[in-house]
Amino acid sequence: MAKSLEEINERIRDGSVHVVTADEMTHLVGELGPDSAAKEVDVVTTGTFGAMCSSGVWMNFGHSDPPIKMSKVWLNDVEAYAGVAAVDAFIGVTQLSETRGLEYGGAHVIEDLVARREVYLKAVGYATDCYPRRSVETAITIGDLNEATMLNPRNAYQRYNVATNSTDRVLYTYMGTLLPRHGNATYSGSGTLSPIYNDPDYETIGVGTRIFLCGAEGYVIGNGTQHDPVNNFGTLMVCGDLKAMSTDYLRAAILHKYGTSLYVGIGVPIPVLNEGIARKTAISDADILTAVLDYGVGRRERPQLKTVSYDELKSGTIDLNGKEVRTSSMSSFFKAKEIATELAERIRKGTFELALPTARLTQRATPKPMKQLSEAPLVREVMLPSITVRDAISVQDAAKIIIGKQVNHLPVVSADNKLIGIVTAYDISKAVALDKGDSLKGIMTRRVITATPDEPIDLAARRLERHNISALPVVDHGNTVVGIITSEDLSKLLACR
Amino acid sequence: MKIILKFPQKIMQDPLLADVVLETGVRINIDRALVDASVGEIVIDVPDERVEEVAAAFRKRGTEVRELDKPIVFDEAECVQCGACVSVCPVEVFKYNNDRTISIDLTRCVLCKTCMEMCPHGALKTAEE
Repeated sequence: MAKSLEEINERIRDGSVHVVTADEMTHLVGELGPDSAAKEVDVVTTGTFGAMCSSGVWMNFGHSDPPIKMSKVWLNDVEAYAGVAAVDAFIGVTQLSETRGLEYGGAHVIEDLVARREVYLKAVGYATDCYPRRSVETAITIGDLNEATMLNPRNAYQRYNVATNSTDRVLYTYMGTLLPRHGNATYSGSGTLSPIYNDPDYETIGVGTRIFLCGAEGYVIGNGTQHDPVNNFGTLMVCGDLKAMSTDYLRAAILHKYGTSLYVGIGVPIPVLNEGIARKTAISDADILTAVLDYGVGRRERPQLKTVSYDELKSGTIDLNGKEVRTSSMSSFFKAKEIATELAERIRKGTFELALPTARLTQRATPKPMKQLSEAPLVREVMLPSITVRDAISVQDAAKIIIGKQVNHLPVVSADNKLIGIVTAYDISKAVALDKGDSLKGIMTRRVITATPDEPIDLAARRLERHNISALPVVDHGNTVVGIITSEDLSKLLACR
Repeated sequence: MKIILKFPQKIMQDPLLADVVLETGVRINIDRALVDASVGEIVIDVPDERVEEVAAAFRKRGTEVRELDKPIVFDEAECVQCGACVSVCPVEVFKYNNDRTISIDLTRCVLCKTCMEMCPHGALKTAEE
């Protein structure tokens, strides 16, 4: 049996509509079967509440007197994009404050506006005959803006990868703090409540679908950027009126040593038009699978360790190579459910009607990697041959090699040519000054930071910077020294790019 | 009860914990220890009824002693119940409830502060902040 959207809206108007949240629908279809569930239920509400970095707000400030054509504009020292008409600008959530850095960003400006707090505006422009003013400074609240329209290029990811870290150090990522040696795993997305997973064929979610956006009524205006329906990584582009939003469903966030983002609350109602839609809205956490990736590898393609379901993730631990690894959600299931429940309530009360899409979203797209004119050079292409020494040689002999070969670093190797340490010109000078050590054994650094031949030089450069050192011996899989890469050589190379 | 000990640099090399254990006979559990060039800081767990005795023994040796009764302060208004804190805490202070809210047992906290960095919403702070 089939229902029309108009019939459902009629039931919303006369108060007879039957609405359930997506997790309730999973149980209902399990009990009644999709056919009866489709007869019984008119609307299924979904929800998600998590960090959505591709978000921001278009604002119109009104004209000053004399008028200015803003070419650069800052709100609380966070720059907004002003390369449009005179007093329009877009503030993105990850743009950082020029004075407070990682502590405050575009997301915080947006939260401050929604919370009715005053925001300091500064703008500069070049004078023209029609816009003679060169700069303006003022304080505004959201009520002073003509329009404040949230427009988010990529929201509501259908699902997301799980992040973990195989390395020996803590990583600070957009998926939060990742502890060394797979010390934890973090994930995101709302599983059974995921908007797109409840309408995976985009039968009701399309251009013009009315949604709940941070407490306000909003709309889907297209597929999101990087939309990847083929691999179940669909995304939505959405917009809504910031003035009607609430900080209950919109929160600025700081990801430690990474940057700022905005937690966006989205609820999408799915009209149960037929049995097929009812069956799809029955999706459960156990049905939704996602990959565990190693964020310890700083490349575009991160190694996939295994596949897990949202059910397993929500159990609190996942198994990685026999180790029980604790999991954290970066998005909030509790708030996602709150949003789905609030949306259901608004539909029941007759204050939220459904809208059918005016155009379908593509189901065939998949994103391409960046076209690069040249591949990032690999360590092997820029490394230099390394002079190595044995640990038994005297400090004086090492000094002679350093002077004779004009190098600053001497990797120390064992009899079978494996790397066991490193000495620098400084170590040698210090040993001489302190009259210490006949052999290198006593003065060499044993925990050597290294590079591998097949990694991009950017990774080696970041490692040098992080450890505040000036060279990395390059070793193969067998820990044999095959070369050396120094910060001096790298900075020359990077300066050319 | 957990107490936090701060050692000035000049006594950092002394085997203070061993001395106090031998003197008092109390079985002390070390929850967390941080020692760098300028300061030593150790969080220990001591049976409630022996806390005063142990604290006195440390103070006598020049150690600063403070009860760790309210280690981390939780700001409920900022929390969105995501649970980012759950997996980074070494002593399982945070747990998901069935309704996916977070329950917090601060008596377990050893003040490692990892959760404070992890929390995207600044909902976890130290008492001083």
